[in-house]
Amino acid sequence: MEAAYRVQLKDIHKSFSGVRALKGVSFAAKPGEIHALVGENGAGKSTLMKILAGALTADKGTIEVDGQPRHIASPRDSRELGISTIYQEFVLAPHLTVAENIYIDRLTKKNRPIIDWRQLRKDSEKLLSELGFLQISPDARVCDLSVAYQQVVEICKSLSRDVRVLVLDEPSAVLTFNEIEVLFDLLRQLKAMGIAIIYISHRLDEIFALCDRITVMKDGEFVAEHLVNEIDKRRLVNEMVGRELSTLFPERNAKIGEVILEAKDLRAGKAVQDVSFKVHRGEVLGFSGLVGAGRTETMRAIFGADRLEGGSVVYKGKSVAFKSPYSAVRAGIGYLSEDRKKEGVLLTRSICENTTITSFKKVSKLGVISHKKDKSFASVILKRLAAKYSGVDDTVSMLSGGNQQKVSLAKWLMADCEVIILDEPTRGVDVGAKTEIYKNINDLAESGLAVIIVSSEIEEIVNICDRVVVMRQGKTVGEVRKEDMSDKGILNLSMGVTS
Amino acid sequence: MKKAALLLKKSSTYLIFLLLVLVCIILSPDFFTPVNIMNIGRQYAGTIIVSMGMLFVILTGGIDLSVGSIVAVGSVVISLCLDSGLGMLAAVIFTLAVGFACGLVTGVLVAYTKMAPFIASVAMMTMARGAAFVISNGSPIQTPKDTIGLLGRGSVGVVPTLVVIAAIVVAVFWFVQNYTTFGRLVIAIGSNESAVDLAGIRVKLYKVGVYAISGVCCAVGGILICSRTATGSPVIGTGLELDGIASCVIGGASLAGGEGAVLKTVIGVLILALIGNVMNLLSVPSYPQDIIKGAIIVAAVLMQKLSS
Repeated sequence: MEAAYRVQLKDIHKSFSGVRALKGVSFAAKPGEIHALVGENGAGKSTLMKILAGALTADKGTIEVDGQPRHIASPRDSRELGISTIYQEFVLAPHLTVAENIYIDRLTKKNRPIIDWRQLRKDSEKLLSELGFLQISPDARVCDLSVAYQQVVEICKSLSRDVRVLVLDEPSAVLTFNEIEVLFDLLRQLKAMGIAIIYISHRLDEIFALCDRITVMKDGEFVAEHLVNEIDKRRLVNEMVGRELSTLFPERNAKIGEVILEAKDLRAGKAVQDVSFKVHRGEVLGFSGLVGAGRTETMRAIFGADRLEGGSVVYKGKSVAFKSPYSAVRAGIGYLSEDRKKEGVLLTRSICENTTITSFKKVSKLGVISHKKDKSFASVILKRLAAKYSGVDDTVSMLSGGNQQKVSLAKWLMADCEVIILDEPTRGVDVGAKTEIYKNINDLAESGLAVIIVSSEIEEIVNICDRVVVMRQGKTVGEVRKEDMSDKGILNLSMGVTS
Repeated sequence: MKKAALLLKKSSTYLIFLLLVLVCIILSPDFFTPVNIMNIGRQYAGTIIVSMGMLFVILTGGIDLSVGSIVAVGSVVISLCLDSGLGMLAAVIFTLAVGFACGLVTGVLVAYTKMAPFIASVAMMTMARGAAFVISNGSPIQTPKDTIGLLGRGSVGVVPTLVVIAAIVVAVFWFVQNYTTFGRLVIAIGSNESAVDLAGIRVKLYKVGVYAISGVCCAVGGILICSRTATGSPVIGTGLELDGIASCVIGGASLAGGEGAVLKTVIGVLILALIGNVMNLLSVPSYPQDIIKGAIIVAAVLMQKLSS
């Protein structure tokens, strides 16, 4: 019976400098199933998978592959057992070809010093065609492929090594709607081949559409395992959060005032062709569209982070063109980037330093910082966001993703902004943190600010925004008011489908 | 246990230093004498100040290879000023302004033309060294009697004036790093430049600032070094950039930026100073000295890596 599992982790413990990340977690996946691993940020999913991948070693516990106890001490051990992990950030060499990437560690055969390019191309072609991706040429450079195809190359790389367990960490986060469907078809194909697939995702819809079983983790512990048809979304969320989530989305009580910012016929680079919209005081305005529709680029151009090439922006009745984020912020506009690690937080600096960077005036005099004011100011904002941390002097890198996002958002909450642009404010954030972020967005709007939210999660847009602007291929293609909002309507607009 | 480990990690630079002091005391009876200690202080006061400027540049994720050359320019400029009969104060101010201008050029190249700091500062290093030779006609310049030489020989109580000046500069940098928005932003830029930019901070201005400050520190360093011999020379300060960088790194700074501390950098300079000093006392010839010095830099940095 035991050997029915392809891979089984038993009673895994792991601590990081005294903090217990895993407290005796067990997890098992069968061959030919897609097994979802869910839980809030910081629940220990990634740690568990890193142990399986050999990137970390467990303090205690056993790992069995096909019923045999195995010791995985390095990524190499893991690979030799047929375990393969695909991380959110791919580990491809962008300037090498598809074929070179797939066989990167075996470019030459044993005892042969020279690469047999014909064989290499043939092998890659065979792999790609087996999966139905004839359109990807083995000779194409990886950096010229779309993100979705890069992911396919990653998967081929695993398959070329006779993979038996495939772990995917949030694979859909970087993909567009259509691409996700392609990925799902591919995964179902792999499942039919008898591979055990472990699927980590925050997107519950996908889990219900794709997976066979679900394991829930919370605070480093195993909570429950379900067959996917035995549980509904609501119960699953409750298990993940460990409490009844009364309302994910706050009650909206909009008092919409006059127009504060109006953009007309904006152009910037290739991505922004023709964008016009208005936003009012007290309003939450959503920006919807497919990945690559030019939403982020539009916001960056308005904020002065990128060059605005054409069109006009009227802010508080005056025509403006911000040349740098500095002038935009001085005028009262804040922008939170979609890329938390690269453009959001200072990972190596303290929570406090991250929070007060936009509000020095309130904690310093003549450039001299009062550490007392500094700390209390940061604590006050973070309390509003219900962020979890042990002290404001801790470095941000010690926090979980959700709390990092809160710190990143915190810097704009009391920076005296009048317009706040939030680009994917809840990306990669767990359900609990999402609720807090929504509540704060709502509070900002109620205090009279205009909030612009760029989001790829339609559910979020529909529930927290008063109005939605939809973009497609660099242009604003439509606007939907609160009363007419529906997932389908917005989706059709973003994809150019007339219903 | 955990606290002890954390403390060990935080203070590993200081521990290495204390260890080294002990070794020096054991190795040479001449080491721990007032005369020798004061000598080290006089000799390395300039390096400490130059390293302060270097540290701030490194904190932003940059590097300044021009420091040694600007020190030479500083020493030549101050001696020429004094030689031409200018007053002490005016001469010092003029020299500082020249250092500031040199740093400003590097800073503008780095911040506004997006030139790699390595390249921009190598260009400045070459130009400044050339300029030092041109304005001095390639030969040392004697300063008039009882001008700057007084500074080099002088002392406040028992402490040499040069050491007092270095201590004041260090105190200012320590304050700036720990208590000012400038210090905080410098380190923030090194930690994540795009995030700081998007927070509405004028990153370019701060970058120009750190190179300009480094230039001024070099001018001060040049004045101090000149004061010890009362002679300005276009050949001094060669290799000083490497000592400065090594000091920052021994003090735990990251060349990627966003990490580093003022007091630890001072300790970094002192570690290099002690090694040089004790080997001189033991009359180790200069080339083997370099080999040992390099090995100790590697050891110090490795020890930090292991304790973290």
